[in-house]
Amino acid sequence: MKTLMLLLVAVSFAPQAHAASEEAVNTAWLVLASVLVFFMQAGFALLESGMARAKNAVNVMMKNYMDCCVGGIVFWLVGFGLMFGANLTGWYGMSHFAPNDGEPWDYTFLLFQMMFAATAATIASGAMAERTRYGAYLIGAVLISGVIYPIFGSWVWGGLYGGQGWLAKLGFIDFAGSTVVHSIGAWCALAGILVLGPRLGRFAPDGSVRLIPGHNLGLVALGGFILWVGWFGFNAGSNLEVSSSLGLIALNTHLAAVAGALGALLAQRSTASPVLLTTTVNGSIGGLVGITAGCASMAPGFALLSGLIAGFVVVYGMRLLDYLRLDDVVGAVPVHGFAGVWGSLAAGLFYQGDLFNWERVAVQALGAAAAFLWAFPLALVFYFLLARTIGLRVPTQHEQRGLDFAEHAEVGYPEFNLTQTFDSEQWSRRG
Amino acid sequence: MRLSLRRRAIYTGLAGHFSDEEVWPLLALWESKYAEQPPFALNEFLAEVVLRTERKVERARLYRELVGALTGPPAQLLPDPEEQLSVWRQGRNEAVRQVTTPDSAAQMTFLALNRALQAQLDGGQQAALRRFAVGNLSGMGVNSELSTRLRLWFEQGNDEGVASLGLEQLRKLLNLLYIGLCEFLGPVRADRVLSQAVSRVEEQGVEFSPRRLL
Repeated sequence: MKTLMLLLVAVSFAPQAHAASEEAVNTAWLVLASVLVFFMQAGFALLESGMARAKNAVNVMMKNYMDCCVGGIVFWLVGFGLMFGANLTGWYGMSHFAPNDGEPWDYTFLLFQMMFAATAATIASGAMAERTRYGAYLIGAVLISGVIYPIFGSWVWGGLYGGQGWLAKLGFIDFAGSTVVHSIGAWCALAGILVLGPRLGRFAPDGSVRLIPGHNLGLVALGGFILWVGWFGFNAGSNLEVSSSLGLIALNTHLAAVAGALGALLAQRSTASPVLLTTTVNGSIGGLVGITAGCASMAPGFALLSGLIAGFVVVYGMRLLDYLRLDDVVGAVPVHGFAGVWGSLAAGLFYQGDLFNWERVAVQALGAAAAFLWAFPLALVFYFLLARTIGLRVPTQHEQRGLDFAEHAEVGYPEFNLTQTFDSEQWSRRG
Repeated sequence: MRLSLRRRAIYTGLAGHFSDEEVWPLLALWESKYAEQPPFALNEFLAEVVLRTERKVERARLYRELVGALTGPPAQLLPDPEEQLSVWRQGRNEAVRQVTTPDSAAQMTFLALNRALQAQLDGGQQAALRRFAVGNLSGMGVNSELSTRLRLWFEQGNDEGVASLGLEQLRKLLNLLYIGLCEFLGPVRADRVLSQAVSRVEEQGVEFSPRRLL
């Protein structure tokens, strides 16, 4: 017993044999950041589900749950190679498909990037909610995660294993993906809602817009908070190492989010519209999207300004979509697309030490335009083909019954949902 | 073609796909509802077979086999199952009642549901909904004769217009009204109006639950 006690004391007070290596610390940080980014998936699920009607709540959750699953597999299979493989042409990677062996850092980096791919894919789910076939949506998620997102990503971030993307060569700045992740996801979403058309009755015969309120604003607010938390991992994780830069990146992220919410509030007040929770939450997320490109290269005051303007962009962007009669259920296109473009421009405008360099801004504009020209037409053609083959939009009877019943044979609120738009006693009859 | 020969042909076609237990109610359904219908009603019969059995049936193959049996030489058909069908009918009164009269009960409920829907609308909205439904009947995929009868029902309120509609067609017609409600009232109010109509008809204690029309 005495010997055992002596041994314990010796172990407890012995100096560490060696400090953790720098790579191990960086690995731990990136794994933690990956977990935070993955948690954003929960944020998206809550936010989007809360903004949908109760009869579609499960369907929205399921899409968010499964797009990161199928997207994760396809990103591992082909996406990572296309995005980060040897990029000799500057247009796409050509190695490291389905990577099975590599250095420890390769696995860490792959994990982190896999979460990014999931984020890009899931943006479309909210925009296309309440009328999209579940199977067709997942096929779309596979295309986004496996082709559209990684190929554009290779133009900006590619060349980890040799070569460099053509936009990166021009000096395009997108630190954590305002354009690469968010705008790409949003342009795919825009294509999706164009092909789908609006939900039944969203626009009245006289052209006026009808509000279709979400079923649970508590979920919306919680989803917004979770996204906000996850964004610290998204932006600070993109530093890829533990360094003194992390403080500025995280501070800028937070400042832009608070300013985004404030910007949305002011934009709503300026137009005498009611100050809605959903729009305010969207404003903060727009602020986060708006700082994602320049969070590491901007002074805090400009981060705040970027977020504030992003809040305005979100509110007026949502109005633009209404004016164009485009039914984006959660406002994904203004939040991730329009604010993403603004974020890319802001990263050029407010570049620390070289403010308002118009050459840099022109490169940023070129990158944002390239993202649209790449993702939007491709997704449009793809969704159109899906619509013409297996079908993209559910039948109107399914819209009446709700997609929870029609697509999944389960409902989110069996005890509380009092609307009777389907036969709850005949679960086998869903076709 | 005589009824017995047609019954043999249908029996021959169905027997290859369904057990005895399944085939008698289907044959009884055919006799009561489709035996006197024109040949193209065979497709409608098949749709109802698929719906009732809730089984994955190779519909195209079954259709080919039924057409083959109806047009092929009688010598290749199974014997007339009239006697077995009669025995089955005697032993299964409830099942027989279900296959011979479900649609009339469903039609009564549908009419009650329609009245409950309309009661929640003002005159202008009722007229707009009827115009919308008449203008979009083509989406239901019914033949021109039925389409005409439905138009008359919408325009003149003659309840016989829905007399020949099967359960699935009634569901489609209700969905058409729901789309119209979404168009004129918005989807949120449309859900509420439909839900309230279902509740009101349920309170009337109708034989056929209105939920089965959703």
